[in-house]
Amino acid sequence: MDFETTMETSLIEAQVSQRAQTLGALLRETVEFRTFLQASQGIEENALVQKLLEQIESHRSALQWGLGDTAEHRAALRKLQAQLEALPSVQAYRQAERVVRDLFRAVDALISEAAGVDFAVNARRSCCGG
Amino acid sequence: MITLSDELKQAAQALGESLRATEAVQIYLAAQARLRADPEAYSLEDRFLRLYQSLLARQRAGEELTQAEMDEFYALRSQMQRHPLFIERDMALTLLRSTFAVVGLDLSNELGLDFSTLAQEA
Repeated sequence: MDFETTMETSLIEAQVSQRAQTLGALLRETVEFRTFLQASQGIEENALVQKLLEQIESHRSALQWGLGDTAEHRAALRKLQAQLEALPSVQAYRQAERVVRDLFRAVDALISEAAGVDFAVNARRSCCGG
Repeated sequence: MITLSDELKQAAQALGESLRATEAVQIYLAAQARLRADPEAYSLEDRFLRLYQSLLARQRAGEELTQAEMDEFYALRSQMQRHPLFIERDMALTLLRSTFAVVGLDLSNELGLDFSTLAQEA
């Protein structure tokens, strides 16, 4: 690669990075994103939600390791999950998540259309460091 | 249906246009175009995708697939894996994905959460 091509490539890469940061900053300021962050914080600070999540995790882990009665763990999981989903803070979180997903998908569609290639699906990092 | 502000639309389009100018996207689009322009490769991919979708749908419906069908699937896949145009396209896709992953990380760092994961279907 000659010097000019290398310079051009570096400039394009820097522009991409800068534009990604600009877009991120704009997204961060949207009502949808702020509402989602508030809802996330709401469930993180809610002691009952955290307690239910811990109990759910403990039953899931028992199932995963084959400990205790499978049917009992499954019944307990269903009950705890229903209790969790009925909480207003969790419902608010789910709603906010749906909205922010819609926002991100709309933005992704615009990026992909202009790029000529699907963006988000190809931007996901693989599980194993790829 | 969500309404995006003009500023957000412009920023998303600007990022997409910059991505299109990158070497990774240019190489990928050229490889993809060469593949589509080749009747043999095009037909091979079409047959493979049709067979894959049909086998997947039948398997999901609980149907048992025959060894002959599985052999046909593996034979087509192997033909594609050896075809120079598919090799070229797959290599270009790998490069594109590593470029997009870095850009996705820039975006996600700014947000404090993973944009790419949230932007896809739940």
